[in-house]
Amino acid sequence: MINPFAGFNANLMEDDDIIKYWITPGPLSDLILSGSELISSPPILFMGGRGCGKTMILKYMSNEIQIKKSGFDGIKKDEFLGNLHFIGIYYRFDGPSLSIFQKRGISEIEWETIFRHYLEIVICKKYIQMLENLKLYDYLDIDDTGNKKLIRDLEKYIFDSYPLETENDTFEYLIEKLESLSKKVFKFINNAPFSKNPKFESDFIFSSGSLIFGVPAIIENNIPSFKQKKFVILLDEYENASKQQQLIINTLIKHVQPPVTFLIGSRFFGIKTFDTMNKDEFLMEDADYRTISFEDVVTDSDYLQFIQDIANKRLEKTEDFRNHEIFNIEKILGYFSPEDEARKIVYGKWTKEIDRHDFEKYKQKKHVHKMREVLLQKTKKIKYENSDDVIKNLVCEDNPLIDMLNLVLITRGKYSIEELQQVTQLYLKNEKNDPRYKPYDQLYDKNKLALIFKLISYYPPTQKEYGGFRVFSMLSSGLIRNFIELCYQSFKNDFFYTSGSILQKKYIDFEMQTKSANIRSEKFFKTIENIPEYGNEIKSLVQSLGAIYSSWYSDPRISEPEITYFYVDKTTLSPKVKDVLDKAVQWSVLQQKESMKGKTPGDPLLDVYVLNHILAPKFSISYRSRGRIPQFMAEDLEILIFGNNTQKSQITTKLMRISLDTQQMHLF
Amino acid sequence: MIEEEKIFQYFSDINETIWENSISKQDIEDWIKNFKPQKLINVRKLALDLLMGFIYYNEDEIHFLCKHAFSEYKRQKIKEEIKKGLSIKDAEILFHDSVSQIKFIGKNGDSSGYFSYLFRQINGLPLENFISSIEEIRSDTSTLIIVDDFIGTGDTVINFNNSLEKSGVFKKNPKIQVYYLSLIVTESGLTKIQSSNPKCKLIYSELLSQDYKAFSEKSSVLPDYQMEERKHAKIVCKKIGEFLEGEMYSLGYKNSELLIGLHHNIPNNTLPIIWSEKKEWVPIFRRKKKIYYSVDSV
Repeated sequence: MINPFAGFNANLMEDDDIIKYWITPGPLSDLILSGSELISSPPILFMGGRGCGKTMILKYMSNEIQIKKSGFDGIKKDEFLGNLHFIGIYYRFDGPSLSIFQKRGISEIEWETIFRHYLEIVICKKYIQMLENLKLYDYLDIDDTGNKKLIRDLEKYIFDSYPLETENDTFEYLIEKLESLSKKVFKFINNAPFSKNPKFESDFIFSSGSLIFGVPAIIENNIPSFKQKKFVILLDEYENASKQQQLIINTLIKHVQPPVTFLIGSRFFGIKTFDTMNKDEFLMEDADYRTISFEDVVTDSDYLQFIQDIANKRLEKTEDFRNHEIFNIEKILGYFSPEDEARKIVYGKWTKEIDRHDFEKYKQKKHVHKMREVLLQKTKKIKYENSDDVIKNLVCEDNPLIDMLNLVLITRGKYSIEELQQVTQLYLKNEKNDPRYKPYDQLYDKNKLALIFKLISYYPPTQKEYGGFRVFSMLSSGLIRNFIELCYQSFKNDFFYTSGSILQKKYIDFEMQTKSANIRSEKFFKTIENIPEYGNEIKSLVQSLGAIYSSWYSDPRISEPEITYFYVDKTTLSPKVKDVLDKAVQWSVLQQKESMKGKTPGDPLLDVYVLNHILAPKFSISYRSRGRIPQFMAEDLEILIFGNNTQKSQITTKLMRISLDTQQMHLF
Repeated sequence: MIEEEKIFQYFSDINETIWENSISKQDIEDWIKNFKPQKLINVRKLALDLLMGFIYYNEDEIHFLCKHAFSEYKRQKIKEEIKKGLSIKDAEILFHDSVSQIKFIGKNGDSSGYFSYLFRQINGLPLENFISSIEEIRSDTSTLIIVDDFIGTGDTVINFNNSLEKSGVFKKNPKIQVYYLSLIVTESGLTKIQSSNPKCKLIYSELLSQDYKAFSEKSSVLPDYQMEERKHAKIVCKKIGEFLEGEMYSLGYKNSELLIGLHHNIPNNTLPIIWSEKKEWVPIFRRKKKIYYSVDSV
């Protein structure tokens, strides 16, 4: 059986798979399909977390995919050209191949010149490959004479010569010539470390923009249907380019020449500089470029629909699932309510309603024991002998979360025990007109998930369930790749552990989903140490955060439920700590959210960092963010990241809820 | 139990990446149930460890090995011509021209049909180059290549060589060159073939060393087992194997002690506890496509 979710890295996906699995994200459809935003605005910086789908989008916009897709769909030349809004030229900044342009014992100016020259060759080759591709699919609206003229014009412009023989009037010939020039660059780079005074020699040295802006103008002049069309250079993984390389490209962006424009894909904090090669100029937002952030544009409800469409399409395109008419991911993963989970924890099985009410049996449940213990401690009026009568009014055998809410409220001491019994009963009887109903209901609704964590703590080794479509979407933290990986793991486990029972049952058990979520969470955690530069520091920070956050879930008052983030005044941080946080955001280990206001007016805005929710199963914490823990101080973070084990442990303990309780106990 | 959970997670991973999604946890549990508890050894653990050491070549890998084996043959031929003084380009041209003079033949029986077909498809060779019996070899055939997926003890090759001698092929065509081309060959098989006929030209993609013998001293299959434990493990497997398939196959054909599986068959050199279906034994890797065959016994 084929796993419909195998293949989740767009870099490794074949063109055919990109076409097969493509779903247009609603809010970005104008940008992707008609390119209208590209036509009317300056170059666009397309930002997004790792795995949010940037590469898939940029690749989809490339001419290679668009031409192939039209070819598959049997679209004829006129229709293709009629619908052609822009021509996408995709180039991915591949880390290893770019890094060889550095540190070879050659002056900076020489390297800059060689890199500029190389970039011109690469993009120019992409232009010609695009023409060849169009010709192959019969989408070029020029006759043989026009074709020859185009090639000759290009030859004249690029190499300042005409082909000597007519058989060389082909795009392949131009591509070969460009390839031989790029080979010369690589040969020089590879040999440079072994030469005494390496000198780069080439028949041509292209200046910045000469081909990138010049060649489209030639193409536009020769092909009628290309008039008024934008050439969009889709630069992917811009974060991999060095600062020096970004300076060169920033200069091109600053001085972009129609019909060319840029759409640059980058992770957050991937832009190392906004400067240009000209010291008096820099890239100014809105004037020189516009930023589109995937997370800002794709709202929560869009995202939910988007991942659902993506998953359903994958199911439809996989034979076994298509044949069994299983193509609704929401149904496959299903949904369980916090109440369902609470019953599972207490009764050991998934059930919508319990078989028989039996208070004598129910009062033996561990969490009810705890309630009795707290009640007897809190009020002397209640004796062990009459405690059953009180407990009866505070528990609900159908919904143990009510018991938990009451346990928390007793601990908080906000209600008297008598009052709490009355409110509970009127709530359970659904007496909505009573003014006490609404506040209780709101309290219950807001804290449902936090109460689950509390309930679980009385039933070891039971662990939190992380299953269901909505939970998977939350765990994915707005990153499509996370969601696909969760599905992939669930299907894979179903194939192996239940012999592929999904085909018969048409759903995957929640336990299996939880197991899968745990595996993906652990895998995500393990990959953190592979992050270049600060992998170990980020991993260490994440470990401490996990310990700190999970300690807040054992607070008997649930004063700050569902802690999954911290906030800090970034202006107080050392450059190295800032770098680590930026890197963690770049790799989507932490996700930066809208800044928070300080406690008093005039305080600086505080930067908010949420732990990627895919890590929730690893630390048994929530996949939402609620509550507020004390602000992290710069020195705390410094130690959590760079301190030794003893220092880290001291700071972690200081920031844990448990230690705060102990401190308070000492104070009073 | 946590350890076992990790093992099953590992199986779940390789089930998708290597075993072609052909095994489920239930299949493994059913297979383990075959083993009766033993005093000296934990049979459940032994079964899981043996399965961890099982090497399976899936369809992609078989395709790769087919390509690699033929490329290796091509490389050797071109090298020979270069030694004779030809340029690389001329040697390549000569090789391509000579392909029509090569005849390929499968090993024996029905099973060779599938593998010969696969080998032909993967390497894009013409159908006319493939023959089904020695009698079809013509006097102008320059080269005969016997294609095989697996050589275990080497008996097949030696027996095939004897059949060729007896058939009079060499009298009819004294210049004919004979090659054996196999995807996988064991070290012991290779040694046996070479000592039986030093002129025998054997080309292969992968060589399995003695470490692949499940209970050998340097066994890579049970690396954490002490010698004594390994001895007990061998006794258990031999006893079951003998019960299932008789003395000759008790630890795989002629005590091969291998744990190897190919996408299209399981060689009988592999321990029968993996593949036997006799006496109500539930195999872990079933014989697909009814093309299971005896590799070494001609």
